[in-house]
Amino acid sequence: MRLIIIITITCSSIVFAVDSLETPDTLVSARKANTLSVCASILLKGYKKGISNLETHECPMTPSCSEFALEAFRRTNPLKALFLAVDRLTRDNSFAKYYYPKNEKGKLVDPLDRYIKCDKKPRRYY
Amino acid sequence: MLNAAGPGGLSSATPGFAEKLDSLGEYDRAAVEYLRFAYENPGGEKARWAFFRAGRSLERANKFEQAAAVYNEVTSSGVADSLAGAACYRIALTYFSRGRLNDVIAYADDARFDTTCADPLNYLAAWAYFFGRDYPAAESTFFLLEPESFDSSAGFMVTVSEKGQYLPRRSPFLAASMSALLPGAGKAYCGRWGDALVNLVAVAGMLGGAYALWEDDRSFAVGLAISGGIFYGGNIYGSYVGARWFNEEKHRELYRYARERVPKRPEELYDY
Repeated sequence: MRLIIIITITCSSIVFAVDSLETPDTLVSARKANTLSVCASILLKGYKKGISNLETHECPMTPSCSEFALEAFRRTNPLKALFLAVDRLTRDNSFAKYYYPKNEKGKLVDPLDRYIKCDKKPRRYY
Repeated sequence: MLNAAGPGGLSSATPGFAEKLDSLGEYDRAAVEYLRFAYENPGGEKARWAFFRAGRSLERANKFEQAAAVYNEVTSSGVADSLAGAACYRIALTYFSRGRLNDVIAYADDARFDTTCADPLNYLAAWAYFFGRDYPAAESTFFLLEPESFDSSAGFMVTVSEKGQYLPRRSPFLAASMSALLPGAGKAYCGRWGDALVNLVAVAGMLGGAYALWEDDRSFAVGLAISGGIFYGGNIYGSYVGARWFNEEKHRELYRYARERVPKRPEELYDY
């Protein structure tokens, strides 16, 4: 029981620490963070060009999971981006059609802004 | 080459021309024509009216700062009539449009003794509280107005603001902790049962697989354990942001509902 509590508190602390990290531009170890982001971006771009194009099945969400991950790595720190990308992979399932609105092309809309700006109030009222 | 007054020396700056431009959606040009008219006919009621219309055109062109400056020309003339009240209101509305909610509230507070626009400004201030998610303050400010005012909008907004105070909320911290204890539990807490199931299966499958294969294929088991760890982290962080989005969505839904159902939206007041 004690172990479970310790794991819970540790994991939650990690999550909040991840969330409180700034974007790569403002990090003290900005160069390191950027290097990780660049590596991940190269891998994702490679996947998009080399593998994703060959598949007939398209991602039902927009932006697609790889585009979502690319954007996450570009806009947030690498650890947060990794968690967001993995979470997106698990959200891209058969139940997704009940939770997300569809656009005119029939794709489920799930932009990254929801997850990195969701506690910021909109600037314009209409 | 044409001179500034237009072909033949005649003034092209007539309000009719500006009205036409405004109706065609050429708001910037319409504003220029209104301003030209105002400066060619200074000091009169027509000039003040033209300034007001120029402000409206600039607002429609999403140039709120410039619009506020032009409305100031109407209010600074010293005449306390309904047009000055309307300009006062539209200045506050430009703050609202730019998300400067505190300025709207301060502006309404300053003008509370101004009989030409006190009530509309209080209505706008209440909307600013509402938009800023300060529902108790919004309710009390709407409540100060006559319930029948603005086509019964004030009364309607009292009800909606009260609703806002009882919106369902989810704690991001609790969601993250629940997911740390049982993968997917935080998602279920936010009503995403499908995602919860997928999370549970993914994490349990990978970590369980790593445990089962530990003796037979150590390297594969390590790979599975690392992947499981990443998915576990993603599941916790996903629950955390999912709960935040849940709260945000409820606020946005209420705001959409209010804007769709309210008889008189803030921007529809003094929309000459």
